[in-house]
Amino acid sequence: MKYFISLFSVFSILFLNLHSLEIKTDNESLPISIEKLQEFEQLEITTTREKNDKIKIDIWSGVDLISLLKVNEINDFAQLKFISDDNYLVRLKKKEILQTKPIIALQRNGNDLQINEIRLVVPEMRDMFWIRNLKTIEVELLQEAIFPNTIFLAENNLEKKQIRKDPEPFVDVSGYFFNDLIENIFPFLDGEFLIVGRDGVQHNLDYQTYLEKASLIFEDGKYDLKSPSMPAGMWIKEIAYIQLFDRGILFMEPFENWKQIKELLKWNNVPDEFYLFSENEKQEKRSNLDFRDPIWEKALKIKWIEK
Amino acid sequence: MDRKIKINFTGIVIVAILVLLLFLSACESNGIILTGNISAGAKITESGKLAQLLKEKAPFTEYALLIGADGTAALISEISFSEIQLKKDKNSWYSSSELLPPVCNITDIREICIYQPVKRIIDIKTEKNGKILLFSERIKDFELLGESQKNGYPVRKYKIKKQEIEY
Repeated sequence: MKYFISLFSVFSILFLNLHSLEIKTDNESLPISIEKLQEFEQLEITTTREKNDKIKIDIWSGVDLISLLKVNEINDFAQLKFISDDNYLVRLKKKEILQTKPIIALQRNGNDLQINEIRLVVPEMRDMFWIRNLKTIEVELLQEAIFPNTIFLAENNLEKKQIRKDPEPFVDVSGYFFNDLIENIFPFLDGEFLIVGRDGVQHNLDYQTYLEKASLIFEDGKYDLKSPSMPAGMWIKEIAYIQLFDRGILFMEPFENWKQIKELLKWNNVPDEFYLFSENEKQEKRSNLDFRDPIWEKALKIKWIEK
Repeated sequence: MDRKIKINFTGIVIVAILVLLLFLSACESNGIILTGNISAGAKITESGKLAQLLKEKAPFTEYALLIGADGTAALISEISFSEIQLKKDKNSWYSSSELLPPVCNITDIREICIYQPVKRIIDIKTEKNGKILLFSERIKDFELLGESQKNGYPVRKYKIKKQEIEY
């Protein structure tokens, strides 16, 4: 009997993991089975996408995300974090959810989707947001972005390190491990790193799941962030900025001045002055200083001067 | 009889001196221990602004983790050091600030773990076991609960992972 109960428990856990979606809040975790999702009213939406130069039209049927949240009494949130079974991650702000009315699709063009095909469909947003094999929805409350007090300059800090040929597991490339860059900059690694590409794509990623094994692949004077523990769709092309808590790392190459950085990172303002540190020197500079000025050649970090 | 009283009186004086010495040494040991990237044995024994108190003992400090007896801790960075006061109330220490987020107000502070860049502290003296528990190791004993900011001053709130802290 004991053996039977244990077997049943293991089977139940496996079954639950394979067949349920989980909504996580600060206080609780709510498993929702596929059967439960099927009990909801099924909405139908038609999407048009361009794939490989062809127009693709799909009819999706599934559960209205907003209704699912309401039923579970989730009203107070700033954004939702969606994570797939292979750790693909996207975030949608509350405003985006209310505007685009996403569904959790259970059918595509009249055919039932397999368990690992169930996906979030977000009309009017690029299909990189349409996360497939959805496993977890995490509720996140509003958090005002922290402005970095100190910014390290990536290229000049990396120059002091030996470039790696074929940083594992990537081959026929050269670059650095992510850890090469961040060691001696961040004395703690908990919490989520903000990672931003020059094209504005950004992710908030925790170190252990996504970044510990990541590499910065160097090509044509730019760095791409790739990691074996990140689905390739999340890799960041031409990485521009990294931040953890109040400390940032800036890749200067893609920029000409602070104004461009301010626009990309949606900072309200930048202070007028900063200290610029090189190996043995500290100078006071104004933030209208162009990045092509030779003064930046040996600069390792800056600290804003608040007046 | 007189002699007996005299001896007792001397004894009382000796005991009183001993008690006083014990009391003074107890007061001395009531300072806040500084750990992390700093020579072992450093303490804060006076009230004042954190920036001022660290100026001589740990001049390159960039982060400080203020740790309370109940395992609650607040991580602040150097821009906040001049805005936070360490004060003594009877035999316990607490931090207070009006500008910083309220989580910076830690009661019964027992330890402040500080981060100074390692290259700045090459001559650091080791602890009794021959190893220093660097800031980056000590902070792993704590679980991050969240981040907040007020008036442009950010803070991280932590809670110790173990149930008991020994000081």
